[in-house]
Amino acid sequence: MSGPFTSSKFTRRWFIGAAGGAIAASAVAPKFASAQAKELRILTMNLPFGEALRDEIAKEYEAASGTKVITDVTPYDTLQEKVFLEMGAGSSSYDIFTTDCIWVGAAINNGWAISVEDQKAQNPNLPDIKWDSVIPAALPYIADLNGKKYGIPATLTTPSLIYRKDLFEKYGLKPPGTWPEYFEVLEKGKQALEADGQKDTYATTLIQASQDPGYSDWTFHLFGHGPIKDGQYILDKEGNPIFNEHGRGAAALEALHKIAPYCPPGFLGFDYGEAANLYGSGKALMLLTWNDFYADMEKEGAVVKGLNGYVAIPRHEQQVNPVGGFQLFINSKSKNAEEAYRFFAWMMEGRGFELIRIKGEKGILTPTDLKNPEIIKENPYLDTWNHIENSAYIPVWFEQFTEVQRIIWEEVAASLAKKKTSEEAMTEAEKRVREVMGR
Amino acid sequence: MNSRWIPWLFMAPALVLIAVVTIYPMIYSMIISFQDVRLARINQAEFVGLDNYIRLLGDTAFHRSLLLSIIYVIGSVLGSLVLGLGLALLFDRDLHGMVLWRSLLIVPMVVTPVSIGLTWRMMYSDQTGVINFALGQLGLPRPLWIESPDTALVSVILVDIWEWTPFMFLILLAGLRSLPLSPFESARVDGASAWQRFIYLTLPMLWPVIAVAVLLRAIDALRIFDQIFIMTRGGPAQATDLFSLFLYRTGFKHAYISYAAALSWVLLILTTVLLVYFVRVTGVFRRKEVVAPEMTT
Repeated sequence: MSGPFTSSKFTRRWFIGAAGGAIAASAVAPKFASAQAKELRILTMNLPFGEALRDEIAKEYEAASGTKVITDVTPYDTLQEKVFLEMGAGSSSYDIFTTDCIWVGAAINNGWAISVEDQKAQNPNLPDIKWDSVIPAALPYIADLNGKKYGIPATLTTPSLIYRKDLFEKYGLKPPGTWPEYFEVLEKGKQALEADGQKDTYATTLIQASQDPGYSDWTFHLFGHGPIKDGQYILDKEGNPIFNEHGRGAAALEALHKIAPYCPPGFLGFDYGEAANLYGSGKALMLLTWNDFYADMEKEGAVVKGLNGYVAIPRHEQQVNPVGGFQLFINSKSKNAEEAYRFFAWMMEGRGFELIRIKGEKGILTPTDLKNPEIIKENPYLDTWNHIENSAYIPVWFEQFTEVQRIIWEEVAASLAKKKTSEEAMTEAEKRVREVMGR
Repeated sequence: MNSRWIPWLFMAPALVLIAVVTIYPMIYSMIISFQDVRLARINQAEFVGLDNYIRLLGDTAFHRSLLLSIIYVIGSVLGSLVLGLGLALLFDRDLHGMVLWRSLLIVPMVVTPVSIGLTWRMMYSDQTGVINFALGQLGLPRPLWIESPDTALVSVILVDIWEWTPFMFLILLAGLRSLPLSPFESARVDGASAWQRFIYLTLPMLWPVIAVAVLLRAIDALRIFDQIFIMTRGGPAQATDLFSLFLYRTGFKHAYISYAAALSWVLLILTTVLLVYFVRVTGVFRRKEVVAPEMTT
């Protein structure tokens, strides 16, 4: 046998030469590759905005910039674990990562994200980011408590009270603008439904099976009394629990106790899906939850399509709507941070959000879209944005917030299950939150 | 090579594998249980001594989940044992079609837990579930099953009993079939009733099998996760927030990995103590002659 791979050719010198060549090639290769083909890797979620990032946005951005966008789309349940594991371990596998607003504190406080303001300061040649392409309510969750910006918003949502316009008209009810009006509608609605022979239709339901909706139900009542301290409602800027100052937390819980008799049996086991099914199948007069869940009510073929009216959250002293959503941040360990910044600047030009909306995302956040009559006609719940007087932000800047949210919901649910009074539940919640916050 | 080392050489790959995938993670979890480690910054560990263990002494959520797990294990194991034993006694005979019946009975055991969780969640639904539909048709009350904090724990225990009764049935049937026939024939000749034969012969001779089955089931029930996660996610109002769900939430949802490690060590120690006590009390692994006890007729 002869040729280059015969044993006689494999001398020590040959091996040393080959190894040297391989090392030199590997040293040169990354620089060469980055100069030739730029690449951005994004970790995101399987909502329409994430799918648009993977499909239309990736295609259009590559055509515009020559940078290939590779997107890893994962379900919500695994997104948190993946984000925390990757970023917590200091991995550079992704250049851009997605957060739910309740993880923002973890992203900023632990140094996972680079401030886009710092990046711009380091390299003035980078393009400006057009912050006014999104509504102001979208900005607090991409910034720290001092307002320094770290990322860009991806979606935005707020709650609306959805109600059956046809039944309200039939029973002579008016959509409530205040909480006393709301309780009046509950009682009158219940009586009217009974008189109408609609035994299986309920005035409303609370959504208490899991942390996010369970906590949200309570905040809808808490926020209406206005901020408690430093413009905050749950924790002050030092992380002390303030939600039950002046008995406000217990009063909000009492309001939920007043609603409970108007809910279907077993509402403590209702998650978003069950509540949406109840209203969507025509078995509830009204429902108060996040706008995301109303998209299905307006779809072609939906039982209640065209029968719905939407109003903002009723007021106590103030009209206050909380805000939620998803954000995009640049990984501080990314080797393509400047390219990621350029991608953010491109997104905020507006074309990216347009592609996201076309893909079917309902968490719309551009002022032009939210004022567009065609879009509002198709998604009437989005009109709530145009009637909000005050926005409330949950204290996501503390990374223990998910635990705080969990504790408050547990105590709220325990009280609704009649294991504790409202005062006992809120006192216990304060105590547990103080422990978690190290106060 | 010294022949003394040859067995070790052959065992080495397996030992290395066990060390890497079992022993190292255990040691690591023990170490981080004495540190403050968050998933959000896993590389920054701070030694905190016994802080995590002290914290769980006052953690009401931990106490609740532990108590719920104990109730779950007792309910589930006892339920499946009684039913499994009853079925084993019923099927311990050579009748026509028994093979088919025995095969059908073990179906629940081979279904994946996620499918079981989803199926039962649908069946239990007050609005759309087949169980309440049937009860309604019969004019009976329609319980809220997993939607009420008063009935949710019992409901998930019933699902576990349904799934694992076949396991008990199989083990106990195998045990019954292996019992010697002569003591039973002698007892019958002496005029012992069926109940007496069961109490004085079957149960004592079957005891080691029962004890092993209970041991295996208890360990399995203690670490239940997927079914409950699918059916109730620990709710409503934390009525089914078992220890494994609490542990998962602490470690991966609240990203408090060192506290979760401390919790898992406490669970491991508690389980080991209880199992050792159980084994000692039942004498299940003690070598002894099986002697039929004296009967009083």
